[in-house]
Amino acid sequence: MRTIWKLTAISMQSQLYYRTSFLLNLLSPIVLLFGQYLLWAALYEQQGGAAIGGMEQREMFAYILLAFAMSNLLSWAGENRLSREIKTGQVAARCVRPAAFLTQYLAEMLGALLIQGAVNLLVVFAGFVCFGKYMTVPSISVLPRFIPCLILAVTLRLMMIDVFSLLCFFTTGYLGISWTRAALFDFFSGAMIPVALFPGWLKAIACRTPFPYMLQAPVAVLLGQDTLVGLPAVYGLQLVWILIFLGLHGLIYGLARRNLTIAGG
Amino acid sequence: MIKIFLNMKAQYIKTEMEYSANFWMMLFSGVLTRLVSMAAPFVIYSNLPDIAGWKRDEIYLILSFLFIAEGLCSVLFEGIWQMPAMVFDGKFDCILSRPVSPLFQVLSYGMGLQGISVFLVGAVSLPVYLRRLGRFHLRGVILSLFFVLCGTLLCMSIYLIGNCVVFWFDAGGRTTIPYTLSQVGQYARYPLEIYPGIMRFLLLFLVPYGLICIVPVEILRGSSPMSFSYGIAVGSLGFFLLARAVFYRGIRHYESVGM
Repeated sequence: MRTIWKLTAISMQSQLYYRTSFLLNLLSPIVLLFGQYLLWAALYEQQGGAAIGGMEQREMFAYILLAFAMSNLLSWAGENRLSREIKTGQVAARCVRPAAFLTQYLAEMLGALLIQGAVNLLVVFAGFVCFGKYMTVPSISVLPRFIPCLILAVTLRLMMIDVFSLLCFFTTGYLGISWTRAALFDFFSGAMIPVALFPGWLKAIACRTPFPYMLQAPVAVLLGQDTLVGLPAVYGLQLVWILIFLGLHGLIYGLARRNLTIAGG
Repeated sequence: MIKIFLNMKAQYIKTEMEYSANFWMMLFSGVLTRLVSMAAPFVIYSNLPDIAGWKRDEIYLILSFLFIAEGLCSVLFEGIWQMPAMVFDGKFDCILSRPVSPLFQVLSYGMGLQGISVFLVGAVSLPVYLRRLGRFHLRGVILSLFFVLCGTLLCMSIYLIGNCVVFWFDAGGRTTIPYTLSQVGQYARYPLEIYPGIMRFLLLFLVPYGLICIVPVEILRGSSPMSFSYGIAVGSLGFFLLARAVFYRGIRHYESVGM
């Protein structure tokens, strides 16, 4: 456990090393959040405040804020750290450390996630305090259902990023893989538009992918909305997808290690 | 100079095509990201009849102009996105030591393979939606080509200004500021009239994605006068000169490796 916390602390230090940049980078997603509000405010105004796809304006505004906090838990640089290390060869350092590859990865990602998560929590809190009258404010009573769902969602997302990153062992670049992953996540997770607004056939496809269980499901639980498949099924599917990605990690990492030569051995 | 520029791009594409898995992955990701972008208005229009009187095909025409400009920028001027890394790892010193314009060297450096497919998605969808909107005639096509040219220049200028922050802010070779500027383009996918004044000002004058794709479609659909085309041309040239000035100002601030 000490190893994990040490790696987490190192990761947090490296996040905060370039302070100006860190602060500016925090601002970036907030600009996009502002734009999302303007867009949906305009669409609801056009509708005279009527619900769009069954979602009331207050629900949508709360959804946007929470989806923003969930989808921006990791920066682009943070998400691609492992991919970059594989591309530059720095990944060799991970392979010689006396800790499992996946443990190191999860510990480092946790470091990045804790800082960004704390900032996002502040943004969400400030958002609900300042603009609570325009939003559906989550009830504290849903927390016992939400927290396990959130932990599983974050774990699932980290595992998905890990598996996509490991694919970089078999290509010469990482951007194609990262963009593919980001595009699939942004759309099917509900980060761009709530999955609840999708037409039936597209919703059915989304529910058969792991992405809605990384974002849409925890946000829906927190807001007391329909989780599309029911809460027990959400937990179950999150666990199943984590196990699938764990299996894929073992498979791909095993294949990569077979062809990987470090320090001559 | 143009011959050298094109020769360099030809060499880059030959090099990249040697690694076929990566090459096809990049093309695939370009198509996928743009299809996802097109899916967002699709979902909105499946819940709403129109957006401020704009039809779905008109929104797709906006996207087509945006994709072509972004794709061409990525293929032709990918070096702009390499600037933060160049400054961080010292490669920018090499740029300054060569007897060729640093801006030319940055613009001609590298090639965004993803841009090829982004451009192709735009190039296929542009005539399709021009035809569906009844604007596929000589005047419409010539105007579209003019807008594509101006849009590419504007897009390149926005990317250049955004990436020049690396000369002032130490970010370990990574900064999200240029990415954020490019993401402002997400809001240029819908008509300007749905946004409040501040957002319109942002999209027309500060980060002028509106001139790349919204105003051209407004002109083509007849909701803005033809004279706005001159505004697009002046805006493109003005922004390019501004970006060039910011770039050379940044170089004066540059303190070599370890800044």
